[in-house]
Amino acid sequence: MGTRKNLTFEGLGPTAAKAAPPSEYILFCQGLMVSFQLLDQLKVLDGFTLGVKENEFLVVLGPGQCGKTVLLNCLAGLQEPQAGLVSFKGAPVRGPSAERGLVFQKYALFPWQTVEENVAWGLKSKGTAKAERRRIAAKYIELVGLTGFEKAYPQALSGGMKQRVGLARAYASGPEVLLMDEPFGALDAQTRYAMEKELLTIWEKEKRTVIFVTNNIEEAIYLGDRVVLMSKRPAKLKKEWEITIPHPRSYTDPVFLALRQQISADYDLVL
Amino acid sequence: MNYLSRQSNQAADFQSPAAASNQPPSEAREPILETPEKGLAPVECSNGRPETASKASPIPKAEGPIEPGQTRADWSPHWLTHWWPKLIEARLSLLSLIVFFILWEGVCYFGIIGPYQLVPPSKVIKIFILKLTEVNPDGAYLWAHALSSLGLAVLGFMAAALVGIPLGLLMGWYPRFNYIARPLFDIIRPVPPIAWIPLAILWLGIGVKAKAFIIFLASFVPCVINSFTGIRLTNPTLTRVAKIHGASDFTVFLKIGTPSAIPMIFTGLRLSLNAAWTTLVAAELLAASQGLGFMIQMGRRLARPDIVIVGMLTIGFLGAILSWGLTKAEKLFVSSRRLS
Repeated sequence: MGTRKNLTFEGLGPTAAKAAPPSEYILFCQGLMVSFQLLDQLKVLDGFTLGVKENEFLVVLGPGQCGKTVLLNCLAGLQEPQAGLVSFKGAPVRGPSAERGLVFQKYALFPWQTVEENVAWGLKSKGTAKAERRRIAAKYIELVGLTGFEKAYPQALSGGMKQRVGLARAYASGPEVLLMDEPFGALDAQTRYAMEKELLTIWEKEKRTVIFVTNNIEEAIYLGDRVVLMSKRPAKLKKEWEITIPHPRSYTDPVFLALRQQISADYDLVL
Repeated sequence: MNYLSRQSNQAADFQSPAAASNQPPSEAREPILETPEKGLAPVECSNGRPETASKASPIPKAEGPIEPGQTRADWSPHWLTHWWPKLIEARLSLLSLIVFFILWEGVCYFGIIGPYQLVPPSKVIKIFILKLTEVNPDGAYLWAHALSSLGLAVLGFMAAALVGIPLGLLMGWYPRFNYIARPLFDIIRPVPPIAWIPLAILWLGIGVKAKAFIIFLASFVPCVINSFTGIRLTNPTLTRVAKIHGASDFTVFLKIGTPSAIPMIFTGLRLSLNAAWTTLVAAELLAASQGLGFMIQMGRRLARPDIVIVGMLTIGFLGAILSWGLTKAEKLFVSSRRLS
């Protein structure tokens, strides 16, 4: 990675320096602009600003094609924004790092590796000793409830199990922030509900900052401490809800439903 | 809400009419939210159904163990459904071969084509067996020719794989390397390997080296192209996963790119082997004293079509065996490592 002037606070001039990320945010992005040159200049994000507090479960809600994945890629450091900055614990993000783990919708497991090898991948790149790798991998495989499947290959697993492996892999390399890109989008409804429940259980056991991207309003309310709604392209932050319903939440709880109605009213406007 | 509630009631109707009839429709149509017990009741009733259903199972139970590919309702024996169609296919293939050889034999027997142009298959078999223990008229046993050719082809093929695969992978992964190597490769690629013969002789003399060089050039091209394409097909999400976990670009190339390319690399190897084997005869046009290509040339000079045909058939059989072996190796390697 070369030097990226636009990502340093100094490079942004006095106004940006004043708006340097408040310390309450572990991950912060400001004025993100990303565009792609297709047939036309396609602006995906335009002046997107978002702060994430430590150990918060933040759900980013938005319709399809609105730039949710691009946002996550920027936060992860996989994509360089044309303007704006992303900062992690006060330092600008300059590239991908194991401190910000990603869980993908399409599982993205290495098909030629067993569950255990997949989970231990990040540790191997870090240079962790073999015995330690196995211990950590076993711990997280147990956490996601896949003990006994260590030697199985991804092709033998169901969609839900694959996503558990993806979750265990993201956890195993010890990230402080977990970025989840519609992780349950490819699962059937039943598995989806089960996985949502399980994700919360895991999150209660091992608190991490989570940024969970979804297009499903119910999922957003069920999981999030805070839900932010993205507008359609070019995406901006449209609205924000703090959700204080205690866990475990029920889909049929009147408060839940009222909130759902309220969000869907705004969600419809977004489309 | 009303609509949803009615829907669930209808679903219950379909599953168990008896249970649904207990529930007056007017009550069931009330919104789920206000009276959740009433709205849900018919659905719960359907839990009792599986017990009665299993009694009237329409599928008859077969006696004894069940073969793979056979259901309980399938009464026909395994060999009839499984082996018989295959046997018919095999018979058709055999039939076409038999007709071909009969026509060939007939053409020679009735003198439609003279003995100096074509010999019948019966004589080919005779000569084939004879050549195993007979050095004349071309100076070596058939197996000696075959071994010599095999050695040459494998040498050229191996060298091409060792150079071509890494080259293709690097070109596919590193754009800068591609910019450097691509123009040279694109110029060399369309030149037929045979056109290299004069230069090969000038550079390497007329020994094994020159011949292996020609074969190398022929089999080098598919190796490069397929490894290049293979590594370009690497799933970008896997690359992102690897990078997120802090892997360097070279590690990603080695651990993600290369395994992803392996199915395509094997395709390249098969094409390469094919190219190596088909260029063999051309390479052996170079001054040679052994080899199947040389044997064919001698047959032509001595006006012995039988020798030529035996040489050709040996090339054909050995080529088929080689590519069969490579396919087997590929299947074993790719499936045991879950590479595709």
